[in-house]
Amino acid sequence: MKNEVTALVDFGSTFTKVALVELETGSLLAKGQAHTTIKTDVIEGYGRALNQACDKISLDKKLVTPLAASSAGGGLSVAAIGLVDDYTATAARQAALNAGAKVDLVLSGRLNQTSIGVITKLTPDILLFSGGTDGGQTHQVLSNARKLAEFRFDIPIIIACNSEISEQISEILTESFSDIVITANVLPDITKMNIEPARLAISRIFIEKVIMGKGLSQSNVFSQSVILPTPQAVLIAVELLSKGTELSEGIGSVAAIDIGGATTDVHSSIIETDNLTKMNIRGVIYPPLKRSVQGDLGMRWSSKSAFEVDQDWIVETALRHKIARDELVKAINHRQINPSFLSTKIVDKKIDEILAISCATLSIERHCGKAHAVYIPNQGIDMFQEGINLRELPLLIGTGGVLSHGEIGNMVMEAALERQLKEALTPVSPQLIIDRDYVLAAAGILSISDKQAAFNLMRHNLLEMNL
Amino acid sequence: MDAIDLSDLIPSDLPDGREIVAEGLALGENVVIGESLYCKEKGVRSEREWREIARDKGIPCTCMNIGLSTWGETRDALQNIYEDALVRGVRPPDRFNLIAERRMGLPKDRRAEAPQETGPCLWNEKDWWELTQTVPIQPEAADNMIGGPGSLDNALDALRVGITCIGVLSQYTWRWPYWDDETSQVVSVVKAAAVLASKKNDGVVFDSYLEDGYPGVFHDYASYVGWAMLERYVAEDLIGAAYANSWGGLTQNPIIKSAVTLALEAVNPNRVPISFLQGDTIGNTPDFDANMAVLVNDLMMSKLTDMRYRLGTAPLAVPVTETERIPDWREVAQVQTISRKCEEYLPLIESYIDWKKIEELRNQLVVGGKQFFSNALGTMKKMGVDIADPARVLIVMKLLGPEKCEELFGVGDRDDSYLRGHKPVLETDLVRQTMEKRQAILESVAKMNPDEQLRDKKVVVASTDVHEFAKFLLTSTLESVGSKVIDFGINRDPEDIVKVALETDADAIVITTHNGVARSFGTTLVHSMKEAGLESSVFMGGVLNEDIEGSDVPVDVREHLHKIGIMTPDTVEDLLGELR
Repeated sequence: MKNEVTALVDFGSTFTKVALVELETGSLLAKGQAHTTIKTDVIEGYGRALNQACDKISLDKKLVTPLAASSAGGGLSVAAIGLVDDYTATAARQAALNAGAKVDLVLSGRLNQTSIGVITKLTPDILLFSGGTDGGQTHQVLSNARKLAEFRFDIPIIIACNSEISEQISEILTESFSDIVITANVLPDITKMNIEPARLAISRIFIEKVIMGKGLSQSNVFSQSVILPTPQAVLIAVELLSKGTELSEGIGSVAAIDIGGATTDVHSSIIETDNLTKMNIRGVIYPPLKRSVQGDLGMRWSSKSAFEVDQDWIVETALRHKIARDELVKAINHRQINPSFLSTKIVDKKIDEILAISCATLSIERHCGKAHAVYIPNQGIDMFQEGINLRELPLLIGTGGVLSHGEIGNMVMEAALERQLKEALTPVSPQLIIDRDYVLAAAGILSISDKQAAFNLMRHNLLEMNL
Repeated sequence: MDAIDLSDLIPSDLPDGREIVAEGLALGENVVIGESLYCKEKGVRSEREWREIARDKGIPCTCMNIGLSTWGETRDALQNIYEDALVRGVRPPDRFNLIAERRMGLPKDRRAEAPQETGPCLWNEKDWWELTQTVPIQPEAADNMIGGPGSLDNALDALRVGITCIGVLSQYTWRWPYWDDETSQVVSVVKAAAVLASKKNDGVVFDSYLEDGYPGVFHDYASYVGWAMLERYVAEDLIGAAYANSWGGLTQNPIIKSAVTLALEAVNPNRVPISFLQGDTIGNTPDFDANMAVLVNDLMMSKLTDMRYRLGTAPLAVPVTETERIPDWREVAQVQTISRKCEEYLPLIESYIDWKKIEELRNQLVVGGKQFFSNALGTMKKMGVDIADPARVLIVMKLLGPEKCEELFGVGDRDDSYLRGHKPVLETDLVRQTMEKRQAILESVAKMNPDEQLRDKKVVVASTDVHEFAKFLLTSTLESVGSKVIDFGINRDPEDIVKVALETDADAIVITTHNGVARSFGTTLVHSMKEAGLESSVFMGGVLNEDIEGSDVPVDVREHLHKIGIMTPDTVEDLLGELR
C-alpha cells in the first residue's frame, strides 16, 4: 500500500515552497511557503513552510518524506568550454543549461591567459570541457587542456570532448581540479548533440559536491532530500508531460515559460512528427529537449537590462497607457534596486505587465530558431532552419512568478506571441495554460522517484484545470 | 511542422494579378497580327491552324533551333538551310526556335546598356520583320522572349510580324543580369501572357519549354506533368491564353520520352499542339559519329509517337556537333535531312511497337502529375495564397525553388533514401544517369585497389550551390574506399565549412561548385582556414569559373586556385589519387 505523502520542496533564492502530494493518486493536498532562511540554515524556512502545509490538512509532519530541488545560494553555475562556438561550445552550453545550471561563461577557440582569467574571476561551481567530434580534432583540444593545466581551480571538471583523447586530457588536468569526471562527448558527430551523459554528470556532481559546499544547511534532511537543481526539475516535468509514462500517453510537444526576477527561462520538449516541410538544418541539430535562460530578461534584478534591449517598444506601449518615459525609467530602476518590490498600484501593475510581455517576447524568440531564405539565381529560394522549430507547438504553459501569480498570464503570453517575427520559428497559435499551483517544479522533483505520480499531479493540476 | 507560410514569399508591392491581366487584354485589342511567309504559303492565319490540319491529315512537321552570333548571320543561315532542302529535294523544316541573346529578356530601353553575350539580338523593326519574311519557315519567338522583364515588349513585337507561337513561360524562373526586381518581372510576364490571351481566337499560342524551368532539375517525371498542369492552370484558366508545352532535351530513353509526351498530351484538354519535341542532348558525346545513333533513335520514337497519337507536334533534330560548339547552318541542315528521311520508315515500324506498355507508363504519370498539381494548389490555398491570382501563383512557385517544390508537392511513396524524400513514380533520366555514373565510378575505383591510405581519411564534402548530384557522386565514392565522409550538404558558406573541418579535424575538404563563385569561395575558404589554424588539403571541382571585372564571360579561375593551394582534380578518380 502506498498511501504515503511526499513533500516536494523547492529551495528558491527568495522562497521555500512545499507541496504535499499523495503518491498513489498524485493529488496535491496542500501547499506552504516561507522565506528561504539562507543566513541561518535553510532547513528553518523549510520547517515553517512544511508546518503551514501540514496544518492545512492536519497532517503529522513526521509522516512526510521530503524530496527537494534547490536554486538557493546562487543555484548551480557552470562554465562551458568548447572548440568552435557554433558546435562543441554550443553543445556544452546546452548540456549545462539542460542540467539546470546558470551558464555565465562559454569559451571557444584557443584558450589564453585572459580567457582563463575570466573563469577564475567568475568562480563557477563546475567546468564543462568539450572540443572535437569523436575521432575529430585532437591537437587544438589538447593544447586548450595544457593551457588550463597551468592554473589551479578548486572545482570539479567534467570532460566531454573527443573521446579519443579524454583520458589523456584527464591526466593533463589531474592536478588542476578538485575532481575529474570523464563522460561521453557532447558532440560525437558534427550534426548531433549527445548532451544527456554530460547533463547527468553535472546533476551528480551538483548533488554530491556542489549543494553541500554552499553551506546552506547543517541538516541531513537537506543533504538527503535535494536531488536536483530547480530549473532542471521544470525541464524534466515538461519532458514527462510531453512523453507520458508507461500507463499514460504524453500530450505531445510542449513548452513552458518562466519569467523570474533575474532570468526568463523557456523549456521545450518536441515530439518529432512526420514533417513534410522539413528545412535543411544549418548548424548543429538540437536534441528534442531544450532549456534556454535569458540572463538579461527579468522582472526585478534584470529589469534594467530587459528594458534596455526592448526600449522602443516598452516606452511606446507605456505611453499608450499614459505612463511617461521618466516615470517608467524611475519605476524600472526601482525594481532593480529593490528586487522584493511588490506592485500594488495600478500603474506599477501595468509596468510589470509591459515588462513581462517584453521578457516573454524576447525569450521565446531567442529560444526558437529562425528560418533563413537563401536566394539562388535561377533556382529560387532555399530555406534553412537554424535552431529549433516550434511553429506548430500545440501547448504553451506559463509558470512561475508573474505568470503563475498574476491574473495576466494568458494575456502576457498572447501579446508576446503576437509580437513574433514572421521568420522566427516561434509558436504560431498554441493553446495557453497557466501553472497556477506551480506544480511543474514539484512534478519534476517527484518524477525522479515516481513518474506516474508526477504525471498524475500535472494532469490534475495543470491540464484538467485548464483544458 | 510547416516551415514558413508560402504567402510570406510574395513581394509586398505585387499588384493584383487579375488587374494585370485586364490591362494586358486591353493592350492586345489594338494589336494587328502580321502574316508570315509560312502561314501565307499554307493558307492559314496561324501556326496553330496549320498544325491542327497537319495533325488531322497525319503530315509530319519538323523543328530546329537556330541562333548565331548576330541576327544577320542567323538570317543568312536560315536562307541557306531553306535552299539546301530544296536542292536536296526534301521538305524544308516547318519551324525554328529563335535562340536570342539574353539581353532580349530585358525591356527594350535597357538592352543597349546591358553587357553583350552570345546569340542574336533584334534591334529594330526590320530585324523583327525578317524573322517571318526571309523564308517560309515559321519562327517561334523562344528563348529570352517571354519570361524576363522585357516580356511585354517582345510579345507585342512578335505578334506584329506574324509570330503566333511565343514563349518561354518556364523562363520566368530565370534571373536576368542586373535585374533583381521580382515584381516588375512577373508583372511583365503576366501582362504579355494576357496580350497573347487576347489573340487566342486568332490561333496565338503561349509556349513553355519545360526544362528551361524547374522540371529540368526535377527527379520525377510525374513532377514534370504536374508542373505543366500548374503552368497550364495559370496560362489558360487564370489568364485565358492557349498554352502549349514543349520538352524533351534532358531525356535519353526514347520509350520514356514517348510515355512522358503522351502524359503531357493527356493533361492538355484543349489539345493545343505540343509546340516541339526537343531532341536528346544528354546522350551526346564528343564523338559526332556516335551522336548520329542518338539522333536517329530519338527522332524515330518521337515521330512514331506523334504520328500514332496525332499530336501535331514537331520533333527537333539536335545537330551532332552541338555538345562541342554552336552548330553552323550545314550542321543544322544535315540533321534536318536525316529527320525527313526518318519519316519514310515510320509506317514500317509503328504497328510492331508495344504501345500498351508505353500507355501504362503514361497512365501512371498522369495520376502522379494530377496529384502533384492538386498538392501544389491545395498547399498554396491552405497557406493563404490567392490561387485565383496568376501573378501570386507564379511567384510563389518560383521562390520556392525546384527542390522545395518537389519535396512539398512531389508524389510517390515517402522514402528518405531518395534525395527528394519520395520514391519517384518514374525517375528522370538525369537521376538515372547519375546513379549509373556512380556505379561506373565505384567499379573503376574498385579496380584501382584503393590502398589503406584512403581508408579512414576524414573528408568534409560540401556544395556551394544547390547541385546535389556531384556531391552525391563524391560522397558515395569516398565512402566506398573507406573514407570517413562528413557530408556537410548544399549551399554552404566557406566559414561554416571551416568550422566543421576544425571540429572533425578533416584531412581534406572537397567542394563542388556550379554557380560561378569558385574564385571568391576558394579565397575565403583558405583565409578562414589560416585564421583557424587548419591545415586540411582543399579540392574543388565542378565549374571553376567566375565573372571577373573587365571580362564578358566567366573566366576560368583554376590557376588562381592552384596559386592559393587548392587542388582541382578533373575526375573523381584523380581526386582519390591526389587525396592519398
